[in-house]
Amino acid sequence: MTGFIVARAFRAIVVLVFTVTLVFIVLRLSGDPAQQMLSDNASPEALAAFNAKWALDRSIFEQYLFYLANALRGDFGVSFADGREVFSVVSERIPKTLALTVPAVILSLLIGIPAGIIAAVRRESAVDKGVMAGAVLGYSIPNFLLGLVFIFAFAVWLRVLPSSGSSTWRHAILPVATFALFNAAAVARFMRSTLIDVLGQPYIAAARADGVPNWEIILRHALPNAAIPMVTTLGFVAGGLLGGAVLVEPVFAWPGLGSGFVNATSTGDLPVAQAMIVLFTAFMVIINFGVDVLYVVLNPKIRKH
Amino acid sequence: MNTPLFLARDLTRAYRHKAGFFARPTSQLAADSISFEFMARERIGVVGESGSGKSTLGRLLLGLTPPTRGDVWFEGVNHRDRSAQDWTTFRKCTSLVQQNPLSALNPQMTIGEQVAEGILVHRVAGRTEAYERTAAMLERVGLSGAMMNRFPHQMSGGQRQRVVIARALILDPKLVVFDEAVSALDVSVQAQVVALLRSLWQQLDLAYVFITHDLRIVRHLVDRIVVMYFGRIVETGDIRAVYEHPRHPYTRALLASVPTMDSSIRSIEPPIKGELDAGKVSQGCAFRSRCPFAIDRCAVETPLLRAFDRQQAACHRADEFVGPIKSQATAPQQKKIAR
Repeated sequence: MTGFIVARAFRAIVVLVFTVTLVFIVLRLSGDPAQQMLSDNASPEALAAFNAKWALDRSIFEQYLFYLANALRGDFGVSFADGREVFSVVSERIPKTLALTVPAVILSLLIGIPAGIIAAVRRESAVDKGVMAGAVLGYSIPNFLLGLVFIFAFAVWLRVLPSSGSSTWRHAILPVATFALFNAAAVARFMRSTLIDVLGQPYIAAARADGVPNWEIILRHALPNAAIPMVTTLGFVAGGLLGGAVLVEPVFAWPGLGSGFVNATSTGDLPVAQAMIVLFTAFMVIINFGVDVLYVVLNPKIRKH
Repeated sequence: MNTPLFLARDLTRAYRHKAGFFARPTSQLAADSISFEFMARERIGVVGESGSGKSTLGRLLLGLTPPTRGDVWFEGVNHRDRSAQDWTTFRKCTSLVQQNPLSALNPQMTIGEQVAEGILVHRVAGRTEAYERTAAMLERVGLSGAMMNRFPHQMSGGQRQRVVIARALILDPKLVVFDEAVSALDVSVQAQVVALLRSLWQQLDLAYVFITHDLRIVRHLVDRIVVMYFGRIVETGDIRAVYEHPRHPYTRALLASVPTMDSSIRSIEPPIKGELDAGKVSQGCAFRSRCPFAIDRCAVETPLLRAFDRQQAACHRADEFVGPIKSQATAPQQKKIAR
């Protein structure tokens, strides 16, 4: 168990170092940083001073080590846009994104898991068909479009909720709903198919034949076995949140990582964009690590060996 | 006459298939008008190819699949008239042992939890006693009580099937359906499990239905045999009578297909070809397309079970088959049939 975690942690670090390296290469390919930061008509002395300050006059390998050491300390340079520390530009957006994604994940699990279970247990019934029709609809609409539909319905037409900004909790309702509905649909669909698969297993037939009551079959036999594949999906859902943030946050002018990334790329603010790529990667690595650890906890086949 | 333990009348189960979204659903009979009965402590073998409906028959008896038509009575009570309470009582006296012991065991629960579950669910005893009984039952099937804390993946195939048998027998059932219970095991392990079943039957007040495609094994395990083809019983009767004087060409072909060292048996009985072809048979004998003895009458009239000395067979030419399969003289004239 400990060996397993150490191995996975090591792998996570390798992935992160690889990403940081890739970002470094892209940074070098994108032009002379001194000329981008200062202007085209900066004096040679100013350029030289800048290069000396950021160690750009050293060999490329030294620069790489320097960059790596800085990145490890959280120093990703300064934003091209306003000259502020990239670290603070990025970190002040993190809580904003968490304020959307954490409630959205909780909400989508609270809706998706029970809906999927009911649909699987009452398979082929009207309830199942209703739940699945809703899920397919929710899953098929691109989430930024769903966001626009919500703005039109609740902000423009009914005028009950604000359409953009993040100043009060009421501003969070529409973006959270957009996120949650999309993910709840995915969770419900997968919960249903996983549970149906488990309910078809011979050990469920054996429990039925032995007279184990239906609710106990679901709670004690089926759900623990459905939990393992579900964890994988939850990893995907959590990982997809940042991708979703890039699409949904700009729709609601929500000042989180998603719209920050869109701004940084469109204005060419490379240091900010790159720091965000590293952050997104770190997030994905942590999610995957969490999924791996949960597997071990849930699956006796791995747990014992 | 005592009440039979199980009584099945006209038992029929249709499965609907849909080839595509717009296709008209077709229905196929996995069990077709099956009637038979058996008494407490009787041992019945059900044989046939895959798709012959033998597993469906087991599930119908246990009420795990509702019949499309027909009835099953257990100790005089019709499945259709059972209340939820009655079903619980019924489940307490019956069990199912399936083919693959690994998938028949819950991978997330320990052996002890799974074997003891029946006792706890039916509130037969408290936890302490339940686990004591579980340990005793595990020892009875040739495992050690210490294996209770293991998970299924930590055991061998033979051990797992012993666990499944222990789970099936923990409540002293009146009937166990063994559905291909040894088919997935190695031959040496099969022999051990067969010996175990024989000795357990001696000690217990148990009837069982042993569903298999393996005619060698079933011979050592049952008193009476039911041969199924395409959802119907084609031959049934005392195991020795059927093995010694098979009266249905399908039974004869099955027995002849059992691998043997005796070359005189192999060469005589014509082997059947092809597979069970579903769907097209609406009239006449379902076996006729593969039967080397088919005559014109077989295409027109569906043969019904006819009684012979200690067996029944559903074949128009059943009285022409006399004697064991090895004597050439007893097989009737073959007739080439047009396809």
